[in-house]
Amino acid sequence: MQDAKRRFEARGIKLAAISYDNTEILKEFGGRFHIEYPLLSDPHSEIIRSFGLVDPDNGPNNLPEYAKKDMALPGFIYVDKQGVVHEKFFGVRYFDRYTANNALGKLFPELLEASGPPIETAQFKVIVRQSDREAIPGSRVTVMLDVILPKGMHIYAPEVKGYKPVKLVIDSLEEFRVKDSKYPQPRIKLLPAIKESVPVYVGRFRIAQDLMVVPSRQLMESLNTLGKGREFGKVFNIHGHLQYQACDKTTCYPPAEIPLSWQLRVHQYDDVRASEKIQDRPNQ
Amino acid sequence: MRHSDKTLRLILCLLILVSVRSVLAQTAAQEKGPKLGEKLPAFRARDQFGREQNAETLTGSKGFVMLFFRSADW
Repeated sequence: MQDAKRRFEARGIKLAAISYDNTEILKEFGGRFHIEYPLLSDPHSEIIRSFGLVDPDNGPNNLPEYAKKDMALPGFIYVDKQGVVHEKFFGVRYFDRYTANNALGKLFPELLEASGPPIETAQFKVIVRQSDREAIPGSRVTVMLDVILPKGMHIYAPEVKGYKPVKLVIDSLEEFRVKDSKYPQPRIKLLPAIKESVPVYVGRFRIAQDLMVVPSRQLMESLNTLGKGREFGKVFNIHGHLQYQACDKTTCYPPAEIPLSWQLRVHQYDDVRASEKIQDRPNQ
Repeated sequence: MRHSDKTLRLILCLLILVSVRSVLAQTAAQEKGPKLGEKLPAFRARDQFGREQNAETLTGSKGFVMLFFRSADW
């Protein structure tokens, strides 16, 4: 989050966080992780409630036994200078959490760092990006492709008929669930030679794919054996490929694929409790 | 033949059910929290440094992002 803070601030956006903890707990927590942005205390969940963000699923299965009810649903909102809500990022359930860098990438995709050097094919160039290099179980991260086509070249968009549409395919991995994918609006191109109008991408376009680290018991147990905290963790190699068919003014090239990969280190949650003297919910 | 038709129909129904559930879940996620395009309700809260904060004190030149998190006492 501290890293995301720096990148948000470069865009004139400040970062804050809110929970139902008291200020003493937040002070201790902020000190432990060197958090400089404001951690707001909403001890009776009044603000969280007024925003409609109390987790509706505060059942016994998703809370530690010492926790009180009315926790916030984890997620982000982006509010402009006039106080108007512009974007919000909430998962379907409490364990499905956008990372700060994922939210940042949705607001400013160009800020996401490249995962490696650009991939050059015979017809175009691809920049592979990812929102995060580290995650915890439940994190929702983004992998992203910037496809840069030279003038006169096009790639077929997902709705095309009769040609191979572009598709980002992520290989199945037990620890990850493929979530929302985002393809831009295509342009409709008239192909005079065959008198057809087809949806295509030209110039530069971006494909984004969310992936959630599945917080399965098996993953939790395997991470627990490694140890808790950021210094421990397990590296996952996520593989996939980009399917496409590219054409220029004279040639339609055969459908092809580009192999892709991303690396993500997953570590266990930090579940250290606040000092006993400042806890407002003692262990039961 | 009739048996495999039945199985196929069952699989199809299950697939439709899963797709509908997934669409409904995504819609529900979008409906959570304040509405897009509307003003955030007024609020005041103390931060970890004891400062009182509100939407005006938190904003940068382009606004602010607020993280909602479950608890710092875990």
